[in-house]
Amino acid sequence: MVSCEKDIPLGNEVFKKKLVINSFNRADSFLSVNISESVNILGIPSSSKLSGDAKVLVLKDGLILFNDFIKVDKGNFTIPFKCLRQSVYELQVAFEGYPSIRAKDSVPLLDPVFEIDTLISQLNGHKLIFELNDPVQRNNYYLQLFAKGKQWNGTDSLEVTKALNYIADDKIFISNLLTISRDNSFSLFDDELINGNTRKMSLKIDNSDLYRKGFVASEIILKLSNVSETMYVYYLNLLENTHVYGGPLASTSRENGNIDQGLGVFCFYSNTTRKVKIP
Amino acid sequence: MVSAQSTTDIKINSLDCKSTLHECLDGISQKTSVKFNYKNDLVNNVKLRIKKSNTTLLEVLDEIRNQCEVDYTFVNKNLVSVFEQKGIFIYGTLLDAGSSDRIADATIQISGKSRSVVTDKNGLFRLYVTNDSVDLIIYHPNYQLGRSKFLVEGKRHLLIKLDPVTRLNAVEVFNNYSSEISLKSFDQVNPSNTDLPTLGGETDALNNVKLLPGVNNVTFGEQGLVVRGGGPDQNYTLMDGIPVYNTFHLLGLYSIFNASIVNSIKLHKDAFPSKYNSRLSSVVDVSLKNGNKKKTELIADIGILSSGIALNGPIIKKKLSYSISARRTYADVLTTPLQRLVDKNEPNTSTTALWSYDLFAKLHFQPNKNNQVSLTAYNGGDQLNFNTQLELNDDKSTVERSRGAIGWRNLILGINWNSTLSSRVFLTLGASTSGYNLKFSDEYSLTQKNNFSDNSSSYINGLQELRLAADLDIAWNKKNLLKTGIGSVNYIFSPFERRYFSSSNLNFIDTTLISHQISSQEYYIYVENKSYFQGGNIVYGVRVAQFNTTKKKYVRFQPKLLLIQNISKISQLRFGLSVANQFVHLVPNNNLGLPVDIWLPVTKTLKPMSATQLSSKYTHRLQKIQLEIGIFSKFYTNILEHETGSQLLTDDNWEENLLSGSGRSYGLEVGAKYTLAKLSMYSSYTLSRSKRTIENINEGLEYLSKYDRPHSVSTIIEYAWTSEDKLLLSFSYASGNPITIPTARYITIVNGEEVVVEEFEKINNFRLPSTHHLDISYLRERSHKRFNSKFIVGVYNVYNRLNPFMVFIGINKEAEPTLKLRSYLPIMPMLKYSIQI
Repeated sequence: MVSCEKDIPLGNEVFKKKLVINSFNRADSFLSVNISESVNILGIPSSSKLSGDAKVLVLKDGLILFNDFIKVDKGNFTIPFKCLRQSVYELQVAFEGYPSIRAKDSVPLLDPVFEIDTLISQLNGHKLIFELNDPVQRNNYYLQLFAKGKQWNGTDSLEVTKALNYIADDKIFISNLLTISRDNSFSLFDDELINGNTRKMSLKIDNSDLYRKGFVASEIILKLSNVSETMYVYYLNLLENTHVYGGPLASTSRENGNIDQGLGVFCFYSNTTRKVKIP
Repeated sequence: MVSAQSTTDIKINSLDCKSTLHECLDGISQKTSVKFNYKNDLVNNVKLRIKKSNTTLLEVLDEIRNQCEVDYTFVNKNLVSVFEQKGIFIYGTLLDAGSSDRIADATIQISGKSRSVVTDKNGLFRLYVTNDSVDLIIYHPNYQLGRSKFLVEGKRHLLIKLDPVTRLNAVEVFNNYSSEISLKSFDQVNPSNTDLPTLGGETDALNNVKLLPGVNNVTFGEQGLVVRGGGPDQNYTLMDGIPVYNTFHLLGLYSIFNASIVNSIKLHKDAFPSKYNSRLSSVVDVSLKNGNKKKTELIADIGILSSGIALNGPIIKKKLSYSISARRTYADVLTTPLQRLVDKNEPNTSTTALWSYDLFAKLHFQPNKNNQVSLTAYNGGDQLNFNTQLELNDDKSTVERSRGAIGWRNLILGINWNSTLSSRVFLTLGASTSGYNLKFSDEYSLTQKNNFSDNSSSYINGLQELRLAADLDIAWNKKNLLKTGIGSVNYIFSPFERRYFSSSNLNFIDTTLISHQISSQEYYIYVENKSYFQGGNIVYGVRVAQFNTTKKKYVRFQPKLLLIQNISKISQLRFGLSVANQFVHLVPNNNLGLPVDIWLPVTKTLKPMSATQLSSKYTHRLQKIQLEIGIFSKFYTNILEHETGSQLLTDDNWEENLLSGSGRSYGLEVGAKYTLAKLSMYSSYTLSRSKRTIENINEGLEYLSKYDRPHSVSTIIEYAWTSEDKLLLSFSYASGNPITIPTARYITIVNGEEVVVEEFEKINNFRLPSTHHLDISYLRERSHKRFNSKFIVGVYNVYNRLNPFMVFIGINKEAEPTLKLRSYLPIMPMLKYSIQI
């Protein structure tokens, strides 16, 4: 069927800019935060635009951990306290010209337990098989794949690590229909179907993702995170947004994240990383 | 001045009565000195119109008898007694003279009387006659005007046959003949003679319904009709009285109803028939043809989009007939071999096939004049398949396959028995089943010498209903027709069934996840009375329905009132008030990312949707033009909306993702038909607003429904320069409907990379550009020695309007973000050829 496209005016859509928080914190690491602002839907957002002083309040399990002005450098600042497992943290940030924000999340207790079983060479790619040992507690998993290798530019090369696309058609991914059989560098699944047991899973990797535009991968890195419920839902919504409005293919994303009066997410995870050499 | 002779010959020089019978008789008394004896209630409320000069008393009294359904007798030369006429009920069947098929929705009027009756879907009618001889005038837009004179004595049943006409207007919404404006409570479309082609030249039976005031498309890509701002699931579409759950093909491009097998379509927007009062917006009652009982007929057509064949004829002459038809789109049949040919020597092959089909079958048996049995069956659906295969003659003999499919099916089967128990009582018994299911699946397999894997997953959703009904029509006196009935419906809903299969040299998994099936029952009883009075009628009734769903019973009373009154011969006023409830609904699919329809029942927490509607319409007819103007207002409670961003398909807690609230819609509807010699024109305009208020959506403030399309206009101009050639011009316009677009963008981090995320602060916050297109077509009909042919050629969307399908953010020529609209269906040809033997 023939399709055509044309530009249409946005109209008089009212826009109110908000503070955006990107704070993904690994258990046992310092609490770090990136703040930025939202823009009109035809604007180009940036994560490093904001600089200046922010008034920051951090509470741990309801008790004040930090309460002071802090210098924001290109959107980033760090609170010099480690995120302790099973603790609940609350973050409040006031930055001039934006509504003050408030967010709360808890740090997961356990690191995921898994081992890479094997990497099988196939015709056009590889199949990576790993075995996950799921604990009894409820867990939400965030699976990322990276390729480490050399990026060649003429005769020069540089060691780089890149997000690596894969297809994960294991049935545990069907909890989210849009994840299955779709190239992506990350996927999400919960442990409803694993239920505290051991489970082998496989990921398919296309050679074109390992070797392209001067990049030659030598190692595959599998990073599995046990993420908080907040982080899980946040990423799930990102996956499901088709970026199409109107018509049968439209999807509207739920209000993302856990930032009161703002956007983005303040969340925690624990992770385990395993590597395997490409034969 | 009166010249006195014998009483009956008394002459009246001039008489002009335009008042009640009471006043008219008083006037005659003054002119003739003849006194009248009558009961006050007989003459006080009866109006009449007599304008005569140089007449006699006898002629005047005869005219009064005709107009007022009273009789008279001379008590003596100065006294006339006026009393109520005594009559009898006669009933009859209206048949097509050529095929003996029953003619529904024809208007039958006793000559000289203002009251008319309309034949029901079985061609049956009943009349209260008071004269010894009766002269009937029968009007139906597809048939030649019929007149039938007969003596009443000894007759109770009439069999009247009409000859079809060869050519008619495109949309026969208004009654052309009737001396007064028809008292029908519905809009009627007769697709068998409506040749308005649409996309590809298809003559779609439901397409003409969209041209009526108050009716609109959802939008391209979404299936169904929007009637007075209500959603597509709020329309109750019936095929021979059996509900059909999905009525459109290929993302709403055309309906499942093949024009060649449809007898008539009735659209009820005001105070629906109590029997069918189970949706909030409309009842679309489609009757299929019974089949020719005298000779076999064949209709075959071939077009750009689809081809079809319809066959009907007698099995036992005049008793038992059949009608079958099949239609299929064939883009896949043409493109798949081409795709294979192109990929012939390639290791990598891929095919995509999109098709739809319809299969209808009907048996109609009339063993005698008082009984008939019909059996209706339908199966149809859409299917999209895509396959890829990579086959290499390497040392591993590698074969990699992937397949995907999405499709839906309707399957219905029903039987109806109509029996005329007496001239006053008709009985209908019916049993039917209707099912709808949707399935999508994908499959991937890799086979090598020492390595194999096979993965597949599927998703199925559906519902099945079993319906039993008994209905009784009782003409309990000459001015009242009582309709009553009971029925039960058993529903089984399957919200989802997901199957996952994986087999490889590493593992084997075969798992099916099934959500709890939901069994629901609906029981109803209704009583509705139609009272006729001079120049009008009033229908009032109530339907009581009980719906049993999981751990909850709902009982709802649904009253209705519809008053139709002819103010004069050229003007009519109608008023409707009704309450409707809906126990099953289509889940709003804003967030699924797939064009799927999922039907689910109300639950303990999701209460039945309800709508209270007030409507009124004024119709005025002049010599060549008929104009109607109406207003409506609807108030909804428990209306459903999908919570923004929630996932429906994933678990048993689907109802938690639905929110309910209130809503309202209101508007103005205008329709006009103009006929002048070879030119006829039909135009409609609708102003319609549809709004919702739901807690947790748009901060609980009132917002626009996705079906809010303030203005819509439809126009058809037909120019028939011969009885076999005509030019059709069709234009339709509708304001764009509201959609949800993001209000802001921001950066987040995924896999260490910055990703742009959209913020959806409010739903339905952006109105799409308007949709409009102009279609021009030429129809040529010819009679050949052995067959008749029809040829359609034309252009769809003549000026290539880019109508909206979806919106997304893209990049303009200056590499800046911009809102982009994607459109399908540009200017396209129409071509269809059909023959009838």
